[in-house]
Amino acid sequence: MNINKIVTALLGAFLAKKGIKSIAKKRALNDPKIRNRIKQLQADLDALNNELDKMD
Amino acid sequence: MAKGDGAQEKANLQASKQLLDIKITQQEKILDLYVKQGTNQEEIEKRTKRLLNLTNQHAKVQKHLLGLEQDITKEEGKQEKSLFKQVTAAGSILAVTQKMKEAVDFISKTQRDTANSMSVTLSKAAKINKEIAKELKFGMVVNTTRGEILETMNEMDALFRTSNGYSAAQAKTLSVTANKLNISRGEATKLSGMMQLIDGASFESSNSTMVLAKNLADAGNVKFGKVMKDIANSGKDFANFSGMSLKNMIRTAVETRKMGFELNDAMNVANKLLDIEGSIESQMKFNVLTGKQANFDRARALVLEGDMAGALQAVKSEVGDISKLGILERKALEDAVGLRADQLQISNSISDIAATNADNEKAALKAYQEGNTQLAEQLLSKEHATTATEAAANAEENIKMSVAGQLQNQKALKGVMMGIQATQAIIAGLSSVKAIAELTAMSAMTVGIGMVSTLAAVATGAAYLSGAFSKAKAPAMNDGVIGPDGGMMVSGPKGSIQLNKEDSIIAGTNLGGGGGSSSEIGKKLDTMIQLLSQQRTLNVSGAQLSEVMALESVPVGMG
Repeated sequence: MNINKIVTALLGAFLAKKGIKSIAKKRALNDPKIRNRIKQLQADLDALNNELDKMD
Repeated sequence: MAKGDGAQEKANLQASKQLLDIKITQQEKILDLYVKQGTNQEEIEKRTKRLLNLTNQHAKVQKHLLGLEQDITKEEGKQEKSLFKQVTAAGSILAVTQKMKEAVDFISKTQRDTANSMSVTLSKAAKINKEIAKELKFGMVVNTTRGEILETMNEMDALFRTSNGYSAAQAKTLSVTANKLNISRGEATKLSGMMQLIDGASFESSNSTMVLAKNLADAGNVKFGKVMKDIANSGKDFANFSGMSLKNMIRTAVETRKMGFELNDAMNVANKLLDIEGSIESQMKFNVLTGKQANFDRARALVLEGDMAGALQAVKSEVGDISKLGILERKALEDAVGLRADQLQISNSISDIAATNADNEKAALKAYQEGNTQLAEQLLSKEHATTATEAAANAEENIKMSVAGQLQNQKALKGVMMGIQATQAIIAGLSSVKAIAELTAMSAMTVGIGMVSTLAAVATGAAYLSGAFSKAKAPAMNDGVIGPDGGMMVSGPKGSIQLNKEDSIIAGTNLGGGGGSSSEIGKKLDTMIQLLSQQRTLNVSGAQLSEVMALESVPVGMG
């Protein structure tokens, strides 16, 4: 009975930690400032890729 | 902005970066090939210059990417902290509601228990519990419990045949007195109740009498508990026979016990002595057989006066030493006084070894007869009702009871219970909706296939809850005009903005045309406003627009 409780508690803690980490990651990536920077970098990378395409 | 877009954009960014890396490597290889093939120098220099420039830009982008990764990690940490705080707060609420639930459970149990043990309805039980809770405060929390008071009340119910004959305060006092005198609640209740019913004593004086009786017993080296048991066993018959008051009966019980007898023995002696003809005949027979000059007239007179203990003492004195009596002599003695020879012998032996303090006995008897309440209070305050462990347990239960007693309303309790359950369901729902959404998105390899399927089943239930949160989804619209219709509210990342009641919104893709951004429209408008402010008049498709001052007041930076 006690072992069951301990295992359940440990599993609960493990899953809760995983869940929190996962939500935190998603929230961070959806932060407006971060998204703006991603967009800016994407534009820069696209421009560089285009430039390289023109070299062929 | 749909959820998960950020992750997708980041994945796209990494793919573009990888593509760029590949392309640069390819260009480097091509350049290398040009050099090896001996392509003209001008072309090689031109390509080298362009590639160098692109590689520099690539390095800069890589640096920014690294910075971005670091900032994402920082933001993740921040979000994790905030989420953890939220979860902890929800956990605290759960813990509090759990404690409240336990308290409500306790109230319900005690109410049912009181209702059952007192054979009353739940609402009456709630009233009784509330009254008991009121009594169990301050110093009293350690001296007795609700259970003990209920037991006393039950005894009182049986004795008085009604619940109107006593109060919760009296039941508590009696319960504490019983604990302090170390007698059963049944004995204490019977004694106190009978003193009230037969002697017409008040509750307070009956309580004092019990304490003073204990003092009297102590002074005579008699165990009060045994006296109580004697009264419980023979008190009723003795009272019926003697017509004695309870107070006097207690005194008689103490005095007879001191001599080694019980109330029943005193009753037997009295019965025998009052059978005057038979008793005198047996007395003569006893005297003839033993050669003694025993005369029980004084004992008989004392019985008639109601002094049973005195009668016993007189019988003992008249009989004298009985250690050498034969069978017939012993039989004659029993017939004459109603006592067996062995009983008298034991009594004689007890009297020989008893070491009592006559002054103490006298003082105790005086206090008992006068009903010295002050002394009774002093004596009672010196006694402990409970041991340290019992006191701690009583205090814990009584404090819980005191809180519970204030909340004993079944309707209100049911409301509280429903509220607690709803709160727990909402918290659990909010947590599981988030957690399940995340967990089911995890790979089966990480968590285990069985776990994912289990969680999927739970998710189905949680979907009902999540539905309530997603109902407020905004309606979609393609290009068009939204008219004023009495007011307009625009929502965005910076919050909601109330527009002018007469304003309309024109929505469309690439409104500037030619792939230009909206800022280009702003530029054109700014130029137009500048021109208009200089000329004051303007021809548009042949029509002259005069005085366009109003346009000058267009907000700056409209584009």
